[in-house]
Amino acid sequence: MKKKKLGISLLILAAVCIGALALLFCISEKRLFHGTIEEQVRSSGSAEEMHTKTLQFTLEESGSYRMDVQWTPEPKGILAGLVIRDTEGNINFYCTGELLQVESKAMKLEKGTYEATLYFITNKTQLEEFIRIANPKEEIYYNGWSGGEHKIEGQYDVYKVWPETTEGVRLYVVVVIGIGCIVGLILVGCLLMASTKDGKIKRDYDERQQLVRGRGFKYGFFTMMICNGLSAFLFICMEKPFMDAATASTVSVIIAIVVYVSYCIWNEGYFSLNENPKKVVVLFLIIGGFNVVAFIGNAVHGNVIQDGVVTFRVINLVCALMVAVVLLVLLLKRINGKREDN
Amino acid sequence: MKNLRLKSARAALDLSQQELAEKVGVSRQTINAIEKGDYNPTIKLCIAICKTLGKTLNDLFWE
Repeated sequence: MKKKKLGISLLILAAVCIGALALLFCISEKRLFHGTIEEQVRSSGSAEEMHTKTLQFTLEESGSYRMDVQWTPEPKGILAGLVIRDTEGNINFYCTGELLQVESKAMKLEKGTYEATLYFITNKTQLEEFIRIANPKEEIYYNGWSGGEHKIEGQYDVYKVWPETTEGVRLYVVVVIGIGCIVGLILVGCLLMASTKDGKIKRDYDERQQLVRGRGFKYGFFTMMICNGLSAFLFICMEKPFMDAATASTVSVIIAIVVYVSYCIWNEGYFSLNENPKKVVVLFLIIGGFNVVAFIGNAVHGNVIQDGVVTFRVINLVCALMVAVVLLVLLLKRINGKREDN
Repeated sequence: MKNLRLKSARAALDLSQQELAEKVGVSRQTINAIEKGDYNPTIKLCIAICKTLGKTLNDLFWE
């Protein structure tokens, strides 16, 4: 058993090291430019007042590059334009995007020095001005302005140019996601093994427990259906929903899990025959603690509520609450069980 | 309906609910539920309990 645990620990360590090395390689080797800009940009009216930011960078090799601009806090409805010019003033690349991720577009640039200019577009006049600057000869297709002025408030920072080929991006994404999945699976496997008496991952339930768990699944399923229906109804009825769709559906799933777990605990079908309840409680406390810390971090950075809408980052709090409810049900069941025994 | 015959058969062998549960391969709560009459076991579990306690199905489960 000890050898098994040691082997798994070494495997986790190796996976984490490989992941960290891959990440370091991808970041340190490929990033050519890094800078930080911190300033407040506010909405302005005319095209002449359009806020721009220009930065220079040098490429040592020709190839496909990617630009990434990150924002803090994440803005809603900001449209930014990017124009890249060479030293002679010729435009080599341009694009617009809400977050300027450039998405799948790779900038094909030759070796040399370039000037990247970011345009912060806040109204239709400025968008038309940007189009005129970026591409005076051809017409750029755009969906039109959604109406009104977009207020730009906040900071933008971490301004990068990445030399990434499409294959490189795919490989990077596959490697990182793959490592993440492997580490996650190993971690979950270890936690499952650690919470049993016999060190097995498989849980053994007797016939009554299986029946209880089946009923729990049923109630959890109907709860999720009701919650999803309610959230869909609210999204249809409310002009401005108080939370985004992804958060609403995830909260529905978490509520369903709470119902399922609570039902199983109350009917003594949650802990398997080979499970150690004390270890599971410790595990719950650790998971709850991590989620509380993550939520506090997000709350401090003001990422939980943006423009009056609850974002996905509230999920950490919901998970912590889920753990709290489960622990409360466990406590109540324990008290009730003792009373019945007496 | 409480299954007092099972309870007395278990007590006669000086077995706790936990010990019987371990011998039969179920949880203590399941034995408790059977004794309290909250759960009707399958024939498979009934046979396992009878074999462990040295009783017949008639002795323990027939009304």
